[in-house]
Amino acid sequence: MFFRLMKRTFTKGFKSKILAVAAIMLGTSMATAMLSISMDIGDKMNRELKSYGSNIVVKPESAYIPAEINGVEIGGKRDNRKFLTEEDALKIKMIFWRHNIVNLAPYLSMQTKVKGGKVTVKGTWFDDEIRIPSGEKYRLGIKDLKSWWEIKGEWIQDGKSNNLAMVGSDLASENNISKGDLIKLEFNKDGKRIEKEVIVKGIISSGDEAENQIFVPLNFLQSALNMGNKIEKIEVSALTSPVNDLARKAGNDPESLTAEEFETWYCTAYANSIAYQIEEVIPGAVAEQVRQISESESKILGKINLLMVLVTIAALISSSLGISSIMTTKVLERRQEIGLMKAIGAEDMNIVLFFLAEIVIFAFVGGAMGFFLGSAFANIIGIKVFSIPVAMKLLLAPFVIILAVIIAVMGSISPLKIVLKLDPAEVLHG
Amino acid sequence: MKNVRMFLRLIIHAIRERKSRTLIIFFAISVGIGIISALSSVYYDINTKMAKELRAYGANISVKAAEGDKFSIEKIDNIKKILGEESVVGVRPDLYGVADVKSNNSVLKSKMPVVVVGTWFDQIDEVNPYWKITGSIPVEKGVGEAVLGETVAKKLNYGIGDKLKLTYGKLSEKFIVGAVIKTGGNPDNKIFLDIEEAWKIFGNKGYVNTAKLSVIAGDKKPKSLIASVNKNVSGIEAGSIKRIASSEGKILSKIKSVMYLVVLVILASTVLCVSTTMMTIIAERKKEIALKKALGASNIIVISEFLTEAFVLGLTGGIAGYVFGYLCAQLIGQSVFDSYISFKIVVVFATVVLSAVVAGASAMFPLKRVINVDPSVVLKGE
Repeated sequence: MFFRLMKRTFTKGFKSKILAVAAIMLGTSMATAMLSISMDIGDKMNRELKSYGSNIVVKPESAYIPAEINGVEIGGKRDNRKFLTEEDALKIKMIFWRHNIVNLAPYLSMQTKVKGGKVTVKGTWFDDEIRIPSGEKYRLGIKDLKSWWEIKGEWIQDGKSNNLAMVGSDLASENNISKGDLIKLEFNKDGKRIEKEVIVKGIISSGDEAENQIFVPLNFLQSALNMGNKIEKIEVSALTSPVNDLARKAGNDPESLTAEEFETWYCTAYANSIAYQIEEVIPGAVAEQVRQISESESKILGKINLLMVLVTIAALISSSLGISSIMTTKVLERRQEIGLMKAIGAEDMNIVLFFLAEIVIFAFVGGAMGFFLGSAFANIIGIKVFSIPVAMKLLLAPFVIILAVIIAVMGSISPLKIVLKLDPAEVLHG
Repeated sequence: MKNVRMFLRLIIHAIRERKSRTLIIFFAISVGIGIISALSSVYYDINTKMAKELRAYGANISVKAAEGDKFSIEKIDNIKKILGEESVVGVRPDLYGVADVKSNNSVLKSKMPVVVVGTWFDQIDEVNPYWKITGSIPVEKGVGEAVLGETVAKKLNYGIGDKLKLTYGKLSEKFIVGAVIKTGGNPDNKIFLDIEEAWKIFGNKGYVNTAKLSVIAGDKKPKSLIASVNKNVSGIEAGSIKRIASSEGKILSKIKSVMYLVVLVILASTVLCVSTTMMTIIAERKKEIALKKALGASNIIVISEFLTEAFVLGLTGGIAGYVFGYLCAQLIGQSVFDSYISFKIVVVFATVVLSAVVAGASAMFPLKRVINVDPSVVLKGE
């Protein structure tokens, strides 16, 4: 009898029930979309925030204090400079959190003279194909790292030891240098004069000290000055987790952590645990967070996450209300049916069970459809905003479907109670 | 006149006699519209709010002399006026000099040249909120205190409270180390003094090399702000610090478009959810419509009655929803941005009108189907 009744539900009067399923589907889709987006937003925004550039700088430990004003070196003792090697830079791509290292660029900076004036020239990777010892190849360098640089001309690609250069815009306008020019760099190494000519590929306008500097391929500068494979600074851009109390405690003094805390800290991608791991693989190096980037990044990510959580809660409230109000109306609408059932002798319990079974089935179907619709919404948002789809989270499916069922049931219980109390005669009479 | 009275009485009666159903739809409308209005209020404010939050990255505009390497510090006031005092979060001028500092090591007493920066200490919090400060930044101007970059402090072995002698040519001045800053960038290699003290050592009183400004661009384009500064203040050249300013633009537009699409999805599903409830409630009243028609009411009269009822519900629900939504928006504003979400009259109109239109439209849809029923068939029962 129960099954016959259930079957009838789906054959007769099905049309009017479509609305309820549709409402459940819409409500669930809204919840699914918001949950998937807010689960993904931290990761997606983290990638976007990489446009602020490197958040960790690696330098050799040395007693030397650079005296630099706006990228121009002033006097300063440079005789006891210390260096790292190019191989050290590659090691960074092999630490525990190597997949979080988005990009890196080594630097070697030297003093030179251009048309009589003192200039800092930096050797680096621009957009170079680099093979790390484990065999994998990456494209690394400042082209990605300095996303805010505006270049007149073009970026140097696979610079290697080619005599190419990119010149800062201030320097270029002072000395009348433009794209395609050949400029002479005069170095003074241990009292010996070395002259090299380079072709200007592009002019850099960056709004920072790079506008007073010249950038050349790293290997070119190293071989010009017989520096072997020496470098003296590595800029690293890493995807990091927002700073929390543990990271702060470790930042003050890693020694103060208990063994357990240390393990958690070490195995989380905090900026300072990544820096710590870099120091582990490069002996004699100091890896420091660029606080301007890493601190601000966690603040902003924290805000965005919190915002999305609150928006998600709002969406959940709205969707549960949507679902439960349609369920309430649907039950009230069927007063007469319930009255009739009662009149021909059905017990309250039977009626409740019958209705609940029907509601659970509808909520299940609506919830499942809503899950897919919501995942599609989330995907569209991901592609539109971040050009990366938001992956469908199957783990969410049971959660939202059960949520839909619970809300639908809760929404129908109180009207069912009301209707059951009514006298069948009164209801049927109209 | 009589007709109008009758019309009103019918509507009031319909709402009063069907309390539970009216309450459900009223509740559904006001919560749905409330959430929509909360989110759209937040959406309209997100640009200014996030722009303010992004000031965590510090200065986004730098100023230097148009000619020569120094400009008068008085220009800073002019620049602030052009940008609008309230949008300037902080300004910090820099006067550069190089002075010799003796190492504080007991054995090695070597001298080192260090870059010294004269600045306004009270602006460090605003312009460089990301600096990690140990000790305390001197508050009073002109006191004999210095702030050391971490590298300087470590390499020359100075701690908080130590005495430090700066030598520039024949001049030398003593300072007490008040604080050590850690930034992971260039400032770690520098010594900071109050600008008055720096003028005493390096001369050039009243002049500075650069100034860094942290400015909330909000809806205005940073480029146009800078252009207006350059046009209105002579003798200086303002430029954007592209690392911060250009990334900021990208991040803001991402956040804005995420919010936009999210609000759109929520708007669409909420509206549809509300209207399904509305449709059910109307479709249920087939009998009532039939009875009215049997008593001689024309289609137009029945439709206008139902529509007015829906509009009244939509309007009141919308107004209640807006109030509820405004409170929700403040809750979001307070917990995320520590500030209130601004009141936008556009949102009031949009949400209330939307509410009425949604209620009306979703009443119209089932009405169209039910209106041509044959009264006798319906009233007789199935």
